[in-house]
This record gives sequence, structure tokens and C-alpha cells, in this order.
Amino acid sequence: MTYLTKTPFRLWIFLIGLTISAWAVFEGDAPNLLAGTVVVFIAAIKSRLVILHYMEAKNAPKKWRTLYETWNFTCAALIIIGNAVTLTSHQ
Amino acid sequence: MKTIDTESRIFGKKMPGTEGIWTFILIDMMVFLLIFFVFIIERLGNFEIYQQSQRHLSATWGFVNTLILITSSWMVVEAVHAAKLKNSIAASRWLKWAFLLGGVFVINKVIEYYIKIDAGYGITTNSFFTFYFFITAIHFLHLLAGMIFLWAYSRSARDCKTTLSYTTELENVGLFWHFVDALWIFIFPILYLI
Repeated sequence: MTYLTKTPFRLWIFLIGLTISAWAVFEGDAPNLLAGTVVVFIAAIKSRLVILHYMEAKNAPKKWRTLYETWNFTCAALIIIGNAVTLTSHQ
Repeated sequence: MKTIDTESRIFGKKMPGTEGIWTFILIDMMVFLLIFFVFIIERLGNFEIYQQSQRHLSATWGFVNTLILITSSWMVVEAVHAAKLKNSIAASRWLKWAFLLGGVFVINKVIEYYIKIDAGYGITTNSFFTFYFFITAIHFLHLLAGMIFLWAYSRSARDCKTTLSYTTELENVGLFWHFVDALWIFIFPILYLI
């Protein structure tokens, strides 16, 4: 992971790769619980990488890093759990 | 296009921007988190409508726009780095490219809106389309605001104004632009994929 995030260019390549992976998961499988969870999980990884490296929250005081990472985690958890509850209750 | 520095270059080591922009973005983040929460709750109660409506969206638009924003985010990182090195010409050039990619996003979004409205889908069609237009339009306004700053700071850099205060302000612009990118990273799966 350190190799992939070492420079902005490498991270860009990695983010593009993650985006294409999420697209492949979506294209290869009609929206379902597993595909939806994987797609949102990949989105959370991408968003975290943008926050930590492009926004440089990794160099920010602990307070800011914690707040921004908590937002990222909460967004992902909300969508994944909300989607799981929705799909299981409508089967 | 070449990167400004060598491959071995690492990211900066200090917190970029000012405390104010970090606070502003955090407040904005909370607003979007609340919107996402309401969307998820509404989707739970009206799943059939949401599922049927989502089929009328083309995920390809969202996918392309994700690639565009990620790429423009990287360009802004390069611009900030160039400004720190007092390389005004490179900073201006990177900002201009980021601005142009923002412009491609705008064109994509306008075409997407036109197709939807032409097909008879509007903000009042149903709850899903209300969220679709509302969320994407708010994001679109953030993007337009970011583009104005990218353009303005590109011009300032061109005029060789890469002073210390310019660099700090550009870091603020960069932070906002990356936030617009991070938001879209979540908006795309919520509206188009799940």
C-alpha cells in the first residue's frame, strides 16, 4: 500500500484501478447485496485515500484526521447497512 | 503531460490550508451525511420505486465523471506542489487542466440532465428523482464554485503570484476540490449502483 500511495501519480493510478474494479463488479453482476457491499466498500477505500493523501489529513492534527475518517467510515457504514436492511426486508 | 517532479517525490509533511477550510468542509460533510441518511431511510420505505427509477439512470455517466474528478484531484495536488516550488507556470498549467476536466464534468452533467428531463423525469416525478436532482445539483454547485477558484488561481499563478499566502490559499482551494471529489465517490454508488 505504501508503494501505491508514495506519490500523487501512483495514487491516481491506484484510484483509477479501484474505480474500474468497482465498475467491473457492478457490470458483472446485477445489483445485489454482495455487489452493493463491495462497490460501497471500494468507494470508502477511495474516499479514505483521497482524504488521507490528497487532502493530507495524515499530516493534520489528530483531531482533524479523526473527524474526517469518522465521516468516511460513517458514510460507508450507513450505506452498506442501509442497503443490507433494505434488500433483506424486500426479499 | 509530465509530472512536475520525479517519481520518488513524496507528499508534503505539514497540514495544508487553514483551520477555517477544514471546519467549513467538515460542516459541509455533515450536511451531506444527513442527506445520505434521509435517502437511505426513504429508499427502505419505497424500495420498488427506487429500484425502478434507478434503472432509468445511466451508470456510465457516473463512472466517467468519477474518473474525471479523480484525475482533476491529482492535477490539483500537482498544482499545489508546483506552487510550493515557486514554479508558477507549472502550477498555472495544472490548474488549467483541472479546470478543463471540471468543464467536461459540467458538459456530461448538463447532457445527462437534458436526457432525463427530455424523457419526462423531473425533480417532482417521485422521491428517487427528487433525491437524484437535489443531491447531484448541490454537488454540481460545489463543483462550479471550485472551478471558479481553480480558474482564478490559475490566472494568479500565471501572473507569477506564487507567494506564501497564495500557496496557502491554493491549498484551501485544493482541499475543497478534493472534498468535491470525495463526495462524488459516495454519490455515484448511492444513486447509480446499489
